Amino acid sequence: MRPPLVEVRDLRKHFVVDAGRLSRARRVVPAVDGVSFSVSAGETLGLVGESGCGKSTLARALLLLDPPTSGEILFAGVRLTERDVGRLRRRAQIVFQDPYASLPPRMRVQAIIADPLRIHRVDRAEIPERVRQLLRDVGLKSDVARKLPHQLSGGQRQRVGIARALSVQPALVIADEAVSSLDASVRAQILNLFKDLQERHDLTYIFISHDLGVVKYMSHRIAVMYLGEIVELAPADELYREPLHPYTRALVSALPSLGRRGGRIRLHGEPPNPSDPPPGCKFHPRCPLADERCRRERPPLREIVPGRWSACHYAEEVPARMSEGAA
Amino acid sequence: MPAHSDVVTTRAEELAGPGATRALRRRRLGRLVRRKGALAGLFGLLLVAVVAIFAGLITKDPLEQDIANGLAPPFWAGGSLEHPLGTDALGRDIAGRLALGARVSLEISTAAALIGALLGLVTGSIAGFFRGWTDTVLMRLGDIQLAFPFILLAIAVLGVIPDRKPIHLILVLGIPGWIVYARVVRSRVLAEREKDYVLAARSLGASRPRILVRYVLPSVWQVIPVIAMLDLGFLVIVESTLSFFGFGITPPTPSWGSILADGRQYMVVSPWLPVLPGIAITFTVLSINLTADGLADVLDPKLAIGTFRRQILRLPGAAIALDEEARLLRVRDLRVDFSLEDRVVHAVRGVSFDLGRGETLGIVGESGSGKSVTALSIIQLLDAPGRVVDGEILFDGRDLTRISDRAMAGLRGRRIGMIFQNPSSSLTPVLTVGFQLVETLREHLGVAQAEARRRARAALVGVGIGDPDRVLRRYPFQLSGGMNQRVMIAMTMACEPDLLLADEPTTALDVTTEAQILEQLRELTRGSRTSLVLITHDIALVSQYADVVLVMYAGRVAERGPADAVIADPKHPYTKALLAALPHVDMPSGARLEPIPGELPDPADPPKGCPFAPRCPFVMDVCREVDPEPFVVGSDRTAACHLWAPERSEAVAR
Repeated sequence: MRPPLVEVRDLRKHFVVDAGRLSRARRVVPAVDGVSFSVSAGETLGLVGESGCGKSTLARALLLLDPPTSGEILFAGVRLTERDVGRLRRRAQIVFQDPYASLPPRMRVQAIIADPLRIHRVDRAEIPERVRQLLRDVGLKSDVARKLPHQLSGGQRQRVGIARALSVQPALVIADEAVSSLDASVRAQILNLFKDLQERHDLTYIFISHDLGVVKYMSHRIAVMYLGEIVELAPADELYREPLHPYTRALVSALPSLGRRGGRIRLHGEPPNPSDPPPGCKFHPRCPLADERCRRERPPLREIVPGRWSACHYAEEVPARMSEGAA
Repeated sequence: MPAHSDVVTTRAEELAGPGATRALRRRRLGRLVRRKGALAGLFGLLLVAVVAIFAGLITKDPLEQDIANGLAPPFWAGGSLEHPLGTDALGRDIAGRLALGARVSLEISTAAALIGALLGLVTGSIAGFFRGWTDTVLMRLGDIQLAFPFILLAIAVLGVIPDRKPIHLILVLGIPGWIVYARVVRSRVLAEREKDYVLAARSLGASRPRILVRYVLPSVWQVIPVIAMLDLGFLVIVESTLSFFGFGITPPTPSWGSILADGRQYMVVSPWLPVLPGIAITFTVLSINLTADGLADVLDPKLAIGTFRRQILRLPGAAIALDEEARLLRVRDLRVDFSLEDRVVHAVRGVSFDLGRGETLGIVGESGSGKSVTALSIIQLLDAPGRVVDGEILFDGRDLTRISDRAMAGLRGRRIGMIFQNPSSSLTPVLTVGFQLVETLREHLGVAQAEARRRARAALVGVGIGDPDRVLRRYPFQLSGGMNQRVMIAMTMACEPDLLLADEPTTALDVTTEAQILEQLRELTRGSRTSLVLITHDIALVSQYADVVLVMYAGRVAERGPADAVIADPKHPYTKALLAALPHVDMPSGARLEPIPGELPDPADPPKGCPFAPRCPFVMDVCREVDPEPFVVGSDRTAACHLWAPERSEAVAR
């Protein structure tokens, strides 16, 4: 295992919102609530969870686009502070979900990719060749450079977004639902492109998606988020083969899978409101295993077997007890 | 009908494809000209501009006095053609004075509008982009200025200037205009700065001024021309007013306002004198405003797209005999066109299928495949540019494309229900969920209030809502998107329609909720109560919930057959490729997806022959020439692929 490129320790991002129109009270929404993990150089860490679980907030906090409330981020072993923003901008990049909104509508592709190079003072004479190279790298023809975003297909736009992210030669790329709005026949092209680029440029990825199939395909390890916390972290294969957290188990069994019918764990209740999380284990109101302890005590993320972490008081018993429940 | 028109206008734009947008822009001038009012306005404005520009050339010197010849009437009132519009008290040529007045008036107003626009663009974008105290200070300044009468301010300033030149008027009229522009620009910048491309620029290390100038402003400045045009009309009036009261340009340079003021004194002797400048002012301002309206239409193409109107198909149907099986729904050779400004997009090109009672049909396709348009055709809610041009949709023996609007309205909701993807636009924001749900049930099922309420609660419980009473009391905006979608689904299902069309019903929802809702839909089809058409991009979903699957590509049915069989052994190369390109959790690690090469076809310009031919690994010469018909490939299965043509199918052992 190579040394970690990114280490996150007890990261929190809390938003303060007005409690009501007439009240002066403020309420704190813990969008990211004490998250710790690390990503090795060259690794892909998948981040999966349902809407509102805080995965996008985590991505933005990591890049200091929305500075975290507390916690530490170490990049290549060095602790990041607000003053390191400039340095971080060359080492870490993000690819967004919506290829329509993430490209400036009135800028030509050439300018979109060249602008970061100008910002980082690349020799002007070199820029056109670098742009051509980047376009080739993401599988676009050079005539795309003269086009405006709306003249491109969704897949082409996402390739431009990737080329733009790679223009500053980053070490870390965060893909935030980067293939979720693409058509199925184009999605696989972009996923494979991400894989090829990782190999070619020795990239480290944090791959965020709500789609468990996509995350599994892309990731070496996967972190499952629920209401601002990581509830399970495990190597990709093992996570799907035998989840050690009841939520992961429900998530995996809810997946529509080709040809398989039935045999799923039904969750009760609704996904809770992130601004008003339940006490104790945040999953307890929907958990089939929940008991008195879960309602009181917040379970820490602990290593159950080497390399496998779960934030459940009964993690060791999850496989046995939940397969009974599903039958 | 906000929800439905939303769905279809976006679809019309989607259909137009990337290439079309540019073509659309090229036609904007054409559209401006075609609007009659705007054309008249543009023409009038041009006329005034020409007169202003050539003021000295086409008329007599407006400053030359000829007191002996004073107060001559215009030619139609007995005057000579030497002074076609007559003369004033000093014998100066009115035509010449009005022409020069036009130049003065337009020069001052245009320059003032430009100054206001420039100041407003700068202040508005700074306020919107940097927010915080800059924003507060600038906007409050604007409020204060707006609270103070603008004309009084202008008079106060101009009154102390002894020799008023155009530049003075330009500054006095132009500078206070900033706030009008600044407010609009600010709100646009506020919207743009939240978009991902701004976040991307930040993450790339772009400085804030750079983001504002290079990224945000290019998408914002387009609001300026329309406001500037309206502002121009206002400024022409203000300039005339000021010079009427003697605060305009210092005489003898004429201005429409001062000509009017002069003429007022001789109204009895020479009634045309004050009327002519009045006509000039009205004509100019009207022309400007008409042009501004046209400009607004052109810059916002959405205003040009028509509104919902169902069209009854007039063509005679083929009168397919209904067999004794009593199929609930038969669609035969359905064709839907979207007539765009410059061309016709064939969104659905000959789709046929049957649906029995209690059956679930899954329609799978990517964007532009025509799957949603097919559903909207069935419930007859296609929006303006879209129209069923041929085919039959037989529902319980009646052809929906040919029955009256009233008959169709009677079927919607009661017998044919539809669930849309976007939950928030499908419920009325001003009424509680409970009211909407109960009223719908009373209307469609004809039950009493108490019974409707009982059913509404049961329906909410059915879609996994734990405390229905709380949800019933809420307004839609107080609930999450997922919750609203469940309410919509509950409402549609509670009416127990014979046919339920669900267009990506769970795409906006999380997987755990998705599973819950699809189970609920499946429950509904039990006991042959409801037939379901499940439209989705997710082939895995269809494989789990549908009895029969229709794979659509570029407006055509590529493959049709029992869901299990199609997934287990796809016959059409597109279905095959789609399954191979799907990342699923059961994939062995290290396995690589096989993407489909190339892009989806442009719906406005599909390739000749088979639409999948350019991306197909098995493509043959015939595929590029002839669009294949659906060939029988097994029991109750078809595939529109030349590989399965009867004369060739024996040769293929795949």
